[in-house]
Amino acid sequence: MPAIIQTHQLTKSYGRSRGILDVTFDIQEGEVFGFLGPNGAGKTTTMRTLMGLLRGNLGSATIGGLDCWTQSTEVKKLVGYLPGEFTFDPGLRGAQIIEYLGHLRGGVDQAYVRSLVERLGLDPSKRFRAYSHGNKQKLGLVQAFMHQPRLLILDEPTSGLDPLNQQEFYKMVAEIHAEGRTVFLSSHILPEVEQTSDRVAIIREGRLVTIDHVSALKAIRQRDVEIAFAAPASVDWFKQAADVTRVAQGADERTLQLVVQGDLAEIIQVAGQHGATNIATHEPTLEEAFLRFYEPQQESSALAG
Amino acid sequence: MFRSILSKSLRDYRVPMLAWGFGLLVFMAAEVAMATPAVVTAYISLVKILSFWGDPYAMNTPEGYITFRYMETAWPILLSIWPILAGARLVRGEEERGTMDVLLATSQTRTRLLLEKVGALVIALLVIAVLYAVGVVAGEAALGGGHVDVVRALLAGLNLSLLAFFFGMVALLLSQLTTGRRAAAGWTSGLLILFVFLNMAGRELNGAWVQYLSPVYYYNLNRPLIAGFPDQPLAALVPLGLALLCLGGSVLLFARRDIGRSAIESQREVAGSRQQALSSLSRAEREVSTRSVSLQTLFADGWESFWWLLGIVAFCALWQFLTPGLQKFFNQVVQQTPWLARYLFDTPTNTNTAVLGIIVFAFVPALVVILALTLALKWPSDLENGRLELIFSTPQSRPRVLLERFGANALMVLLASVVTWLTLTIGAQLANLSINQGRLLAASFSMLPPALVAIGLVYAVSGRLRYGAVLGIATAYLVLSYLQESLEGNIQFPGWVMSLSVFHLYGNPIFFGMDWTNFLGMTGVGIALLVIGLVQFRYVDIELG
Repeated sequence: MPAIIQTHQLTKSYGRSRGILDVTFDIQEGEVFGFLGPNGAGKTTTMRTLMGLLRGNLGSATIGGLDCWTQSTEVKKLVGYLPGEFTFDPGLRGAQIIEYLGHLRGGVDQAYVRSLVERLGLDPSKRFRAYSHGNKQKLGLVQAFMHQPRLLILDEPTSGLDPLNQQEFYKMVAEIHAEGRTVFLSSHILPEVEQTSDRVAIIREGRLVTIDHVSALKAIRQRDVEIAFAAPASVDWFKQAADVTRVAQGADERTLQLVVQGDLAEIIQVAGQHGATNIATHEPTLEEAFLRFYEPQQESSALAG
Repeated sequence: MFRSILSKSLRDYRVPMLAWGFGLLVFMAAEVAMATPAVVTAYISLVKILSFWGDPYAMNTPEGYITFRYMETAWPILLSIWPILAGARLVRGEEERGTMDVLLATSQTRTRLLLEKVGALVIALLVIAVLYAVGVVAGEAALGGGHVDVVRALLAGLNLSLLAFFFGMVALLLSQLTTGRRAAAGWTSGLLILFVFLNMAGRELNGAWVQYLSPVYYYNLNRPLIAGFPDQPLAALVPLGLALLCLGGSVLLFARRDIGRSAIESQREVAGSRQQALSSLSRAEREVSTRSVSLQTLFADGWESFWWLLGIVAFCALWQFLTPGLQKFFNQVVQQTPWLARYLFDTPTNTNTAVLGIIVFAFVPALVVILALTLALKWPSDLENGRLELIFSTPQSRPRVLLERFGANALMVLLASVVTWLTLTIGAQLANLSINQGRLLAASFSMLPPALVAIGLVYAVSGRLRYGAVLGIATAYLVLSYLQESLEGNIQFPGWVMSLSVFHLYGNPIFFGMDWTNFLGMTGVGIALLVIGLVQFRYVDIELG
């Protein structure tokens, strides 16, 4: 599949403060690509640079082979965009905003707009100022999806949505995926990315830390293992075992807590030698995998983004 | 500065407070210092013509001259502008930004929050009053002393600030009844103009009762700068009492209404079936305003511009109505005072066109330029508030969006020129006044280039600067331009300095006809500024708040 988004060493700085540094990744056509990172890591800066709202200082960014800065008008014909935070003329009604943006974009099917409005339960007769955060987000989703673009760039799309609408949104993304269109979404909600995305990129302090398939990220997981023994247990039994990164006494003297990265075969063997009565493992979520990338520098300062 | 709502609000007000205060200080110091016997005596000749402007009292003294020229009408209008804007955004601004929810999530009561914010506004107005007094005293010292003491200067400043406070409180009250600060500020500005007109009409109609409806009338019953004036201190209770009533009403409404909604908002917004809600999509499909950026801009600016245009129509119509009555006086004064003709327009004239020229075209160009500035400033404001984020996510190029916004602003200014011309033309027909159509056309449409310069200036600097800086630069340029032209009779500026003033370059087309050089020159500058804006905007980041 051809790449619809390509960035190469993309760098954007805000004067003295750093935005993003040497960000390089490709997103294939038809892919759902998750973008993870804490506040200020550079997710929004990356997306706004792709949208031609910010001009990268170094490197390149293209969408559909078009340069995101010099050909941004052409680029936007391919894209539906939901900003992380957006506002509009507070006196305009939702319907007027949808119609206005529809005219500016062109190629909007009114029947499809109605179906989106109904599906998300948006009341388009209200003025923008009267919308709650969640309803503004629904309006944002309608305008991003309404022209059925080849690529959707969505900055924290479920922020403010209730659980029912979040589920509806996941269905919409799945449909887009099934149609072979592309979604690039950022999120703080890791299970959401785990559920929706094929691949995920993790950004920290403006730099991409990793890009991989969701399943691959989970494979490099650490597991918590709790082993119960019939008699008092010693931490020394497991100190030499392969793949054990930490071992500690559990709730009582007959229990040990282990952190294991990799295969459990040797752990099971050693535990059996010492008369283990129970072994419980805790499967990590993507969230735990994600947090691993932040452990060494969790107290790093916030960045623009 | 962040210990309380009052101190935080004072911090927010520091720039306008010091800008207005020191602006007044410098201006009053200069004007009082220049109020020499020669200037005062010369001005007395104008008093009959300018009878609408004020009640002359002790006109042969500097304090009488200053009171007539600035204190009766000019400063009450100008000094009320900022309190109106501040009053309208006092709580509504926080609501529009979404910060009110956070403030009210603290243990502050709504009443206390509002009163602390009003307290900050009062302190800011007191500081402005003190700075005004310092300016008067400084000018007085330069003039030689013996006319105005510190106490009188301070009382004059306080009287002015009290009236400004009244208009601020009206804006605050109206902001409880509207859903946006712009609407509240617009309605209050309309009331300000109405009250000034009522007061003027009262003067022209020899004390007609209409003036009693205007707080400006009660403000003018005290003229503290003039020692011998029969002041009526109790009259100050009228604007004060009305201000407190408005404040009380605002407290009551603010304490009871929903945040983000008007106190009288229609429940239709809340109710409505699903079918009705969806039918709004069909209605929106038929709306012309959603077709393009320029049409949306025109419609969005429509209501606000309507009040400006109505004000211009009312102003033109009123003075056209009064012109026949002034004609006799005017001819007499011009014939008896040759210097006046030179001072005003370099050549004697005794036509209706000239009377209209002195009165109408001394102010309407400034109004049109302020309208242009107000409309253009929405561009940097929308950019900073992220209101264009979604527009720029559509396949509309940046130059196109900017050009459409500029075009919509220019079209509104053109409409103001047309409205001025039409009002005066139709009014002349109805009143059977003979006016020079060619010069009237020239005077009306010559207002377009200065307005284009104002709009162009805003767009030229908006790419790189924040809204506050754009507002400061554009306002400072226009105020200096106007002062430069106003002070030309008193201060000899070099020619090149005068050529920087759009109001000087506007000239006197009502007397001399179209000055094509200045017309095309200013239009060229406006276009050049637009090109600078376009070039800048191609390469800048769209920054958020």
